[in-house]
Amino acid sequence: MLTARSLHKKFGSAIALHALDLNVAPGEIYALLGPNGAGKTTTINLFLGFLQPDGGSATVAGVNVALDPIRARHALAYIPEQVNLYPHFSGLENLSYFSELAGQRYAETKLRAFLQESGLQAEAHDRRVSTYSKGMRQKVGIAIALAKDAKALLLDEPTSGLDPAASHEFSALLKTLAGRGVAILMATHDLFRAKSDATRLGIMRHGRLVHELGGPEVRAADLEKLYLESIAD
Amino acid sequence: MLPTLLRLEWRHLRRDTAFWIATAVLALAVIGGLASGFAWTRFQQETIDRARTMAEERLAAAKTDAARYRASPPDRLNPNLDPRDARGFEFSYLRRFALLPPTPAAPLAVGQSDLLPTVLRVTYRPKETFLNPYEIENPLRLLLGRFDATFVAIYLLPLGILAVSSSLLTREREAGTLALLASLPLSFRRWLAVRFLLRGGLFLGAFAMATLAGWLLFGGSLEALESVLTWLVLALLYGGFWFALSWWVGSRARTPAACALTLSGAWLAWVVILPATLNLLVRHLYPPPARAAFQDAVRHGTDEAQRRGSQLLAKYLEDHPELAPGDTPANENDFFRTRFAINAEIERLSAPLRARFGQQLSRQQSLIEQLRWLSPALVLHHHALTLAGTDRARHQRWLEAIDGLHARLVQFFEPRLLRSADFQDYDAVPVFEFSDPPPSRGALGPALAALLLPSLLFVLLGAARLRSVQP
Repeated sequence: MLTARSLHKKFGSAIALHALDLNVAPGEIYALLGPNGAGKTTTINLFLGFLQPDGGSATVAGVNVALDPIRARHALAYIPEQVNLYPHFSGLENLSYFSELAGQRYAETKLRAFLQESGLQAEAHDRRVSTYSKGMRQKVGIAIALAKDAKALLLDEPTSGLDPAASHEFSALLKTLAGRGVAILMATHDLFRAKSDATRLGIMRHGRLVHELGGPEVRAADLEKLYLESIAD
Repeated sequence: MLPTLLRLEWRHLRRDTAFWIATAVLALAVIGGLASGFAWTRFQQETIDRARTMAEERLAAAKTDAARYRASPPDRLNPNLDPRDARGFEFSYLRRFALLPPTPAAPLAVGQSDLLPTVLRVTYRPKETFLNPYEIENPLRLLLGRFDATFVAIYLLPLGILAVSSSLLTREREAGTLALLASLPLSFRRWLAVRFLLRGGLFLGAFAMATLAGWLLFGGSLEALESVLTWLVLALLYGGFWFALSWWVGSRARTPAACALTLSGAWLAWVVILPATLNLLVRHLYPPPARAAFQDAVRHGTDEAQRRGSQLLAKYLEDHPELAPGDTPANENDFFRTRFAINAEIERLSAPLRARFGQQLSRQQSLIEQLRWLSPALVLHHHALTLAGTDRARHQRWLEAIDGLHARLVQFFEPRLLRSADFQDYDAVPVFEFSDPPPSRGALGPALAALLLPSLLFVLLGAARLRSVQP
């Protein structure tokens, strides 16, 4: 579903991504690990079409993002580290706004069902987003992804700043989505969450994917050790 | 997709208090500007009506008094007060005014009609005795111009536009919503274009509605509706220019602050600094003689002419043998003959000064008309004044008509003042003739192009820039 072939990106003379090959199949949760500047966010931005690759290709559901970003985005949903919504709209209104912009128009009951499914309590649906916590905004972000009926989900540090309960709730949602066949690519620093959620893990360093391993097989302590070894200069 | 985008943008817009406040302020400002323009035009018209009534009343009084004195001649009557005497009629009764009535579209732009005279009493005396008798107004007003609809269009309309449109994209980036928007399967350029179109349409629509409503509310002439609509088209295109500039700058700027700073700098440059600089430039290139020096030279010439009165009289009679005393006692009308000789000398002395003054003003005007294409504000200003009839060119035509009346008055009165008694030609006194040429819309094409083409350029540049957006 999400495929990178020899994906290459430079910023001036600095190589941000070096011939990345990656594939995330439907129902998979792929966690990209690595220190700041390893190329995780650049990979996500290339899949989103925010950046143009200098070589190789990023495809979403078979569509080359660089050639047809709008068609590629039909299959994508994105949850950034900070889900920033319109503060003068309620959660329900934000969901309706972004869904309609994405080309999906739902009845109010259906929109409420998406919010409910993403874990946002009913009393918050009609409250202005300016009163929401970060976790509540992330839930609206998930609801937007649900409403979009995306085949692939890109997440950039989604659990950063969430309390453990919210983080746990978020993980459960990801698993639900993966269970429905959504391909999920997640950039994160959170080894614990990556270990518990991901079906596959990739460790990046200086723009290269240096290790790739299966999530369920690896022990948390081994993952931490491998990670520290991988990022050590 | 377009109706959906419009509907979604409307959800934002209806809660955008700043937009509605800016729109209401602009609508009130244009109504206020029209109110001010109408008040000034009414004042001008009342002054003109008073002058006209006064002229008619004095002429009627001359005829009545002359008939009364003829029926029952008074024992002693100062010839300067006697309507049967050309001197008395001209001095005490005749009020021949040159009137410059405001055009039906005048309330749109006061221009310099509050500085330049629109009512002048013309006599056979040297022009310097009746031209420029007025005081220049408050220098602050000279600098800023009167508050009118054109002032609102030139200065306040772009400020309002910058307030409602400058941060439409950069605000999304700063608030962090751009990332979510950019990840959606929609043409970002089209989404932003709809934001601009809806806001632009409502903002400029409110401006147009307020202008038309104000025009009808204050009793504006329907005869001027074509001029009002032309003015409105130019003002809306000028507004479009600022929206287009905002679109382009917005597509390049990273933050709302950078965007606002660039746009306010552009406003300052195009609306304030460039016109002021051009003004200084034309004054520097074609400096008119100082008015004080001009008046001083004329006064000097007058004194000199009066000193050389008899000498001038001899020369004058050589040129005008028909005015020579003939059989009448030699000194009976010498006062007038000398007066005419002095007047002719004053005219002779002041003519080159006035010509130089006019020539420099005309060169300034011609240069500024060529340079106006550099600033859309100057384009709108020039055409607004032309449409309202408060432009320099119309005033200049009026002054030329005054010259004509003056020449005919001199020709009419000189022989009659020498004959003086038994004056009966009350209805033969030359009248002021001035009419506006039929309106020409020829110059409108270049003005429309001057406002449209840069807008188009900014739209295209912005669209190219928005092909891909980085959150």
